[in-house]
Amino acid sequence: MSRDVSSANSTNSHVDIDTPTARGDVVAAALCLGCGLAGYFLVIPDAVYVPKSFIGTANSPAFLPKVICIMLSALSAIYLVKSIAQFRGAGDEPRSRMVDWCLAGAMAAICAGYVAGILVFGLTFASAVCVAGTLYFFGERRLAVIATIAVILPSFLWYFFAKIAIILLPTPVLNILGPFSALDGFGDAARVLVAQSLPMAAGWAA
Amino acid sequence: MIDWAVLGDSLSLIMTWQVLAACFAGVVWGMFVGVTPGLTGIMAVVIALPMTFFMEAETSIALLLGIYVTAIYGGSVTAIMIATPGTPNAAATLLDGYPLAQKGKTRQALEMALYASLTAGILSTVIAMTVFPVVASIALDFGAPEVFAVIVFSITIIAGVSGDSILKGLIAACFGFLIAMIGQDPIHGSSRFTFGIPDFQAGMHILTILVGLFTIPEVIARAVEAFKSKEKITVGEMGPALTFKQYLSYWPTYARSTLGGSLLGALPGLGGSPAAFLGYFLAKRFSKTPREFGKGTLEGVAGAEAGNNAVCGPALVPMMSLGIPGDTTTAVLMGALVIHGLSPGPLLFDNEPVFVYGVFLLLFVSLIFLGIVGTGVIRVAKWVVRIPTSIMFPVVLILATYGTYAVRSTMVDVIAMVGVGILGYLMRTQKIPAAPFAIAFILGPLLENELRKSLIISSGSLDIFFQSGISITFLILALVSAILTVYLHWRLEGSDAARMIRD
Repeated sequence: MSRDVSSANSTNSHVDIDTPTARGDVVAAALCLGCGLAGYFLVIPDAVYVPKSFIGTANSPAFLPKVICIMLSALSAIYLVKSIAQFRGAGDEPRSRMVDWCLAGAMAAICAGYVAGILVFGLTFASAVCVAGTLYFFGERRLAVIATIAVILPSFLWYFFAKIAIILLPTPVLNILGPFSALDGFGDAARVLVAQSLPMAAGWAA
Repeated sequence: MIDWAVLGDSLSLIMTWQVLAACFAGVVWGMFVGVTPGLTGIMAVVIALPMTFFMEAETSIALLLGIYVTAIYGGSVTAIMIATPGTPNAAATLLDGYPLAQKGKTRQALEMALYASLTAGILSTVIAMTVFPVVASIALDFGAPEVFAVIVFSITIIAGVSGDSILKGLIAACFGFLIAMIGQDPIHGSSRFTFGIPDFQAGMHILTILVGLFTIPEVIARAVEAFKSKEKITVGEMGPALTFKQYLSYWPTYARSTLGGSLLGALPGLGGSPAAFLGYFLAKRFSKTPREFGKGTLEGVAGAEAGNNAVCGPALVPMMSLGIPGDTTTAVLMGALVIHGLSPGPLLFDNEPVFVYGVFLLLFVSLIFLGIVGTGVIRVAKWVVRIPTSIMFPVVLILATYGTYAVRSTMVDVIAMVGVGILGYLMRTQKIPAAPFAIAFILGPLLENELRKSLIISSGSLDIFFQSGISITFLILALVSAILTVYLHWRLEGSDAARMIRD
């Protein structure tokens, strides 16, 4: 590894999250080694279908995946040995701040939540919520800006992709929004809202 | 060689307002598609294809060529500005283009990408025109073992883009190869790593992987930075313009990357992405400052853009002379020719020489229009760089998601994008480079396909790779390249100068 651990800022007990640490290298190497071994012994036998006539030949669908897993395991083992040696020599190594990892984890969770939101609420609605949340996370505090972007951007993208590029946007699988779940745009949503609320309002008025 | 009398007739064929207007419209549409993540060049050509049914052959090919040429460049604009490759061909441009933008040299990066594209486009079209019959016959000599040898040579690029640690680069490449194997096996059609999910049968799309590897980690990193910062951070600065002297200083880079890109372009099935990485690799290999690559150097942008744009002209050669399309986009172009009663193949040049030369001249016209439209896009970019990151990156996340979904209309791609994105961020924290992952993902399926086809031809014998001069030459080049890269890396790592630069 080319990274010089001793060059990390030794006067501070923390380093930037993007600065690799010897401890992080050990964890990464162990994970890579685990992936290589699990791939070879567990995943390939289970998830690669090999026709009988090709078992054990270089033309088998499992041949190259096995070669890559062996390479990955071997390279990871070297990486692990080197990083353990560096970790031992690093002494009291500075760590990256836990708050940075929490922030990165929160942003990753927003991304994962966005995907889940698309499956539940549909792409347009989930995008509106996600862009609003992400804008806030990025430090934008002006509500007018957040609301404008959260409405205009997904609406524009819906119109462009669904109406101009004629791409079928994903419909939500859980049907939580009832009549709205089949909709893929704010325009249609607004029309249904008006159509449903007008008779209701008329009823109340009567 | 060029028949000048026929060339004159071709010029008069294309110099009509209908042809020029169609070409310009194609360039504008291609630029729009190129800068929109998720819309690829092939989609743009397919969308425009029905319009060509009512046009003359030369008008329709002008429209399609305009799109084809411009979409390749257009992808680099978003790659440089927001770390999101508009098309897969722009992945190599991102490696140095985005760091340049972060250094406040957005304008230089965009202009270098444009001028390198134009230079390579013109040079490669001249090559394609002048050596049209020769290139066609050479391309005919490339069977599965020869293409395999070329890909093995291209894979040595991995060591060149591994940054500080070749070991980490090779580990990343292994993951790229494994992810590329998800889906149907290319020879038997057996399922691999699909875990019973039908959407996995088609494998992972390259744009999903590129957005996941480069865009999502950047969004996460910027989120951490923005949350902690009290100040308003903008995407970057336009910075100074590219000087003519700077442009001229990279002539050897344009020439080398154009030759590499032209070679890959003439070989059916490889396309622009491997050519871009080969161009980038050649630029780094012959650079006086190889350590600057990946940190923001104009030479890297020049190499990558010259490489991918050099594909355009030569890719038309096997299509028109042999009837073999080089990639999906040229396959659609071939379809457009057939629709208009032209039969691509060995007789096309004998029967329609005026039209064939007209196609090459239209490439020049497209490049001129690309220069005009591209300059306009760079002017618009100055407003984009002023947008605060607190607004830009949430918007980028949404655009990337729509773009990824739009390519194949499946949510599996979006889920994979986020998964690869989180993996990419974890790789970034330990400085495990993403570029080798991307290269392995692009070249892995090609390598396996050609390897297994060769082994089927030879009944499992490896001798087939040592039976032709072309194959032996490229395998030796690959070996020399790998040894040289490791040696140079080791020498630079051990030197005092390297330590000083690092510290």
